[in-house]
Amino acid sequence: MTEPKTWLVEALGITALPGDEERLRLHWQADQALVTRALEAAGSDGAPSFFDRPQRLFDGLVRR
Amino acid sequence: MSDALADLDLVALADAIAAGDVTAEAATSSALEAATRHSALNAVVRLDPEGALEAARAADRRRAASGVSGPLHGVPLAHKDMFYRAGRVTGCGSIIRRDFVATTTSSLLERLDVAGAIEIGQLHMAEFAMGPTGHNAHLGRCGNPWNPAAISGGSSSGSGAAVGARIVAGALGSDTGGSVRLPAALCGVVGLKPTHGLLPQDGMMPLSESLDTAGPLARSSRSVARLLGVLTGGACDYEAALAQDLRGITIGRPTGYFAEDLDPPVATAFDDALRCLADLGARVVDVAFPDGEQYAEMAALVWAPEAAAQHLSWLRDRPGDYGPQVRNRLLHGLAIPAVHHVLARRLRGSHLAAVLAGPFSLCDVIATPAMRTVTPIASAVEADSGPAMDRVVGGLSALTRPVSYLGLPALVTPMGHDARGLPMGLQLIARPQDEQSLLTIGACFEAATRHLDRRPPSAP
Repeated sequence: MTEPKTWLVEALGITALPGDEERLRLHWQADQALVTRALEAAGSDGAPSFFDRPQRLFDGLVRR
Repeated sequence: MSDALADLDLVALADAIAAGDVTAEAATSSALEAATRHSALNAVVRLDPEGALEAARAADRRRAASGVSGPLHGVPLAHKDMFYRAGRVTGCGSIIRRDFVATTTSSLLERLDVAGAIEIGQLHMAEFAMGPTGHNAHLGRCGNPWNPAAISGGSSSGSGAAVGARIVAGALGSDTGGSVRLPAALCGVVGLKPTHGLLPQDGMMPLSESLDTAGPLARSSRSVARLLGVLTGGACDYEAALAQDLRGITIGRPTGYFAEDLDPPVATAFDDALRCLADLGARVVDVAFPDGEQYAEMAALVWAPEAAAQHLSWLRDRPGDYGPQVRNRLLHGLAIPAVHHVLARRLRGSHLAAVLAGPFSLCDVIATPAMRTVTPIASAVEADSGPAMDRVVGGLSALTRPVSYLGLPALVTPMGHDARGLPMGLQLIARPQDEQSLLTIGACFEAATRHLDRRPPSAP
């Protein structure tokens, strides 16, 4: 993954403020860990219907 | 409102106007006076006295000539300042949209208009609906009607405070991670977050299209039922379908995440609430709720990039026009990799299926406290950035965000007051599209406990 300041300033065109880099770095680490846990919980093939039309599964469940 | 009118909840006020016992003009004048009297609460950002009174007089003339136009005929309401009405400023709690004049009108406002409601003004909110406390760097803080030094909750801060202070009997808010339910809990009123997708989202400031929903606040579940019937376009008469008791209903008490780290007064009030529900005829059973903490965290991977995408051009061009807390939260959204966002959305279907096959196979409705803590004093939760801000935001909405991630409907109603006299909220969560069960349980619980009869010290 790119460096936080490079991502903000060069990729997104945002003016970085003091503390932005460290905040982004912490968020990236936390988010990476969260997604890793979620995928592990889903199993190697994903939870039922994760791979096959997952949004349709959610839409069908909330609109039933 | 005057004492007598202020004591009427929305249904009672609407029925009194329909019966000719109260005029729409009197009700509207009273609400406008209350808004002025409670200006220190900072719940109202814009009032329209002339327009509201003119509409009220027209409503009285219409009623005299041809009867009421709908179930909210002549009832004064006010809404979170993010619902568009053509030709009018909708500020979204911000500097950036301070002068934004909408060219369209929200379908929800149109439905309230058709039902006969009168809009007296627009209400305080967190900047761009991002913030659970009621702080706003531009508008100042919205106070809590039970103690102005306490937080009102957010992001629908003005909606909670205005209904709690009895300025209006009902209001619209919006809920992406708890923004209707938290102010309802903290201000001692009833708030509903409907199933995601139940209500139209046009003409409403977007925060996160995957999680956003409008929601009504009022001073009883019966009143919320009437509002929901109107907001859904009359497709369902939730008020008429309210059951009289809870026989045959099973309520789940979740173990694990939702039961952890509760402040003692919250735990006691929650136990009392479950005992009351059992006394009313419900069966209460323990249920295992899978991984609420993960759902709460996944919600951020969903909403934050969607919000950041909405704001990218303003973050580039007008960075100084955001409050620091809001800018920092948007910054997080910009930094979440697209793949993580997509995964969080994709896993939602599987997680919802697991919750329906798990705890909801054993019960009709799940009950939790709305918050783990008692109401904080405002100075204790002021934080602009960093881990302190994450703790504040995450702590307040810990029990509401998992519900948002799953798209489920949830109702918050008062379950008592702590030793300081500040209200605590009970959250009831149902299967998708089962708002009716929530409203029935809420109405029976409120009739038995009478928590909603208690007035905040600041009320007339």
